[in-house]
Amino acid sequence: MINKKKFESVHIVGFGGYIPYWRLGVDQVGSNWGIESKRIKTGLGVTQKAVANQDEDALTMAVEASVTALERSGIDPKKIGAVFIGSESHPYAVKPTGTILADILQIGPDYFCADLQFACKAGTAGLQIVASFIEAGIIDYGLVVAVDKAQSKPGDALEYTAAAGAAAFILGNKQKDSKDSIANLEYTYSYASDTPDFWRRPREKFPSHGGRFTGEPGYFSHVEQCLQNFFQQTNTKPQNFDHVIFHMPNSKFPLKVAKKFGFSSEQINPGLLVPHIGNPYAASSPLGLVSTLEHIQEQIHTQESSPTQNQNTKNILKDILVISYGSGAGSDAFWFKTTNKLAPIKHKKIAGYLKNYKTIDYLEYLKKWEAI
Amino acid sequence: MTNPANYWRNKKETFSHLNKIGTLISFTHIHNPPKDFGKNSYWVGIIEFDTGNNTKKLITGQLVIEQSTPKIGAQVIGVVRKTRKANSESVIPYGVKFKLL
Amino acid sequence: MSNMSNMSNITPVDITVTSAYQTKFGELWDKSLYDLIAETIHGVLKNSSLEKKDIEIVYFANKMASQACDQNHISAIINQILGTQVPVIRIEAACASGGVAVSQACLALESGKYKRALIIGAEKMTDLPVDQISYDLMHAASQQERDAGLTFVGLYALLAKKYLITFDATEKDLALPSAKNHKHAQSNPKAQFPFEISVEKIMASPLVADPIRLLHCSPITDGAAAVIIEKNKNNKNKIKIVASAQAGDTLALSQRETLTTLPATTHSAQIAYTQAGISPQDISFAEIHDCFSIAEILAVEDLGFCKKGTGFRAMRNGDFSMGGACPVNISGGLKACGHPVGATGVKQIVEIVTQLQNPTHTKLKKPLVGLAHNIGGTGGTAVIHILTK
Repeated sequence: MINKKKFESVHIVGFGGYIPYWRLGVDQVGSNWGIESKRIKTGLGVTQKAVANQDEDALTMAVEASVTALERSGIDPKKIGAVFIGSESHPYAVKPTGTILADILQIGPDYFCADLQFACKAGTAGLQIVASFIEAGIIDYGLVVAVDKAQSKPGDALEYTAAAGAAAFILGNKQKDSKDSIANLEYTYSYASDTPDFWRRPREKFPSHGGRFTGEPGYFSHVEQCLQNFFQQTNTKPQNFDHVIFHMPNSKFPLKVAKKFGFSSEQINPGLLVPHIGNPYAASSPLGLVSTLEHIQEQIHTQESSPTQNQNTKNILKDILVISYGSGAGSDAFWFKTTNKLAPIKHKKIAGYLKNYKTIDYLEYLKKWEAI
Repeated sequence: MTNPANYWRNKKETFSHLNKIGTLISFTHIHNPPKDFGKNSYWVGIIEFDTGNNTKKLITGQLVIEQSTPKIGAQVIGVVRKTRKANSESVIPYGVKFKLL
Repeated sequence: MSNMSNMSNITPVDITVTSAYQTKFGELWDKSLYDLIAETIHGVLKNSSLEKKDIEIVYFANKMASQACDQNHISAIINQILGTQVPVIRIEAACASGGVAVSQACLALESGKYKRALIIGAEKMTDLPVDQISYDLMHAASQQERDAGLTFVGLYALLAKKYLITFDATEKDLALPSAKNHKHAQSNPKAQFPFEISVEKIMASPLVADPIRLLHCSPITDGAAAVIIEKNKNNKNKIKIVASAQAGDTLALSQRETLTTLPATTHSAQIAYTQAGISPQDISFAEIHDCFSIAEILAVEDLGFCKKGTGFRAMRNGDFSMGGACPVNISGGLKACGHPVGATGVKQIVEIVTQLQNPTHTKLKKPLVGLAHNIGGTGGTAVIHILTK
């Protein structure tokens, strides 16, 4: 049972994303297998996926996103009291990614840390854990990273979409210092059950899945039930939110949920990255959140630099709903309320990563994940 | 195999130029990698960093080529990458490479 | 690093070279390291009137016997071959091991404690695969350079690239030392590659580390060389070492003062010329450390044979070819004669002795003065010897 509890202390003070430079088109995958890919593209609603280089992995991408988040927050890394990384491609099965990241960023040595795994909701689980530490007053700042360098079996349907990326958030205590608030956490909720829709055994290189079983019993039932329960607990409905971000294994699934619940394309579009980058697993909805926050920051920036500055900036205050999904299975829900703070986010914006990339072919893709 | 004690002892120095911007003062394209560096060719350079008070520091490192091709005088930024191939048992050798801006 | 305060300690050197020998250099599949050392000891003694028991002390130069042959403590092997119990000192200074061994042997004789020393340089490299050798050779570079995935070719490529841009030299200029050294090697029966290779063929060879191509690089070689030196009162008409100078510098290229000079060369050269009481223009011929062709171009400048930045022009002019002002690498150098790492510095002395005994080119400047220039790594060590008759 989860109690309704409004968070009083937790806010986002820094955030950033990283999407690797290389892209593999759905076309390329299809033509490698001699399959006509036009139908797949429209069916999945995905054009291409982001592919990491051979020398990148979950840790290196976590560093990229975290450096951006830290820079934007302006805080001293030594003030961070927790580091939680959620991924299904941690570089070690035993040895935490968290301590490697923390050391590189010069966080510590006094911080809470553990690596998290819950398929694609490992990162959002981290947000809940760190938020709780802050709300309890044990720490003032915490770093949460959601990252994956996803692998898929060659020839499997997932090959079209399994991608790479990272998102990092620095949460802080707004009771201690509210001036850095970019967005406040209002509520969070989770819904889970033992549903074996997608899994990987330790010695297996690639995940296995239940095909169509991943749809209704997996994604849809958990995301929709989580959403319904969250609305009920917080007494809200879709119209109360300016933006919604779902976990995006493809475009089709989140758009189907959005349509069912009456979310508009204006609400979902700023976070809908999947057509351009595929599914970076644990980083999927977190990157959607980063993109949405940057979108809102653009609006604040436009408003502030407008010659007829509108004193009433209340219309820039946005309510964001995030629903992640992790196979196995569960969904986390979050309600963030943005503030008016203009964060220094000149560089490394998601829009930049979406614009600057290079397309590779299937052979190059095999080399990049060291299949050959 | 990366030696764990050696890796741990050198960490501060290894990551000292993360996110720092420097200038490429010489570079080469390695076509015949030594053992543990795979089969693909890659670029290596000597990069100059301003350390304040009119002093400079030079660092040798592998280059990350994405948008731009290397040129003497080009700006680069330090990023964390795996610096060499490691077998499945080894401690993973993370370090800093220099991405051309 | 240009600390010349020890110039006041420079005393003249006066050592006689009694005998010299080198094995064939090449891929010597049927010879082990032991075989190479044994052949060399036998050969250098045979070229003299001495016996094994006459050797009082031995200096042994070798870089990578432990990696290539699983063998350390080679001093004991040498005693085994000599059948004596004399002190044997192993010297490792990367590719300058040979030169440093000669230098240390000279010091032993100059000290008065020993009258006769044997110096052996030997290396057995070809049993290992090339990428392993490349990796092992990088033990002579810094950790940061290794972590960057550099090879020795890569390190010298960084120097070459800087040189070409700074002095407006061209890629063709990098081919000139290689072509010259191959031409010279035709008359050296001990050379690994005793045949000509044209500039065009060199320029068409594959890139190894841009701008260095395969035929700019010295090969992987097995081989050994030895000299016997003595401290004699009367050495008129004998071959003499009149300068022996070693200098050092930083391990890593990135820690150097400059990327277009090897300060260890200029420093050791200044000491050597002072010891011998001569200037660079008095050198009749030289054996120069051309591990890569750029190294020879840098060296002729750093040794003072020509001004900084003009070495390639002097090459174009033929100054360092047979018939030129100062022929360099009559043996074929490291490129064409071969480069068994620990042996090279000793072989250079052997070649100079051979030339002084029997100059192959009568137009050499008189009096005949030969210079040997041996470098360790990318210039962390430099050793220079000057010999006359």
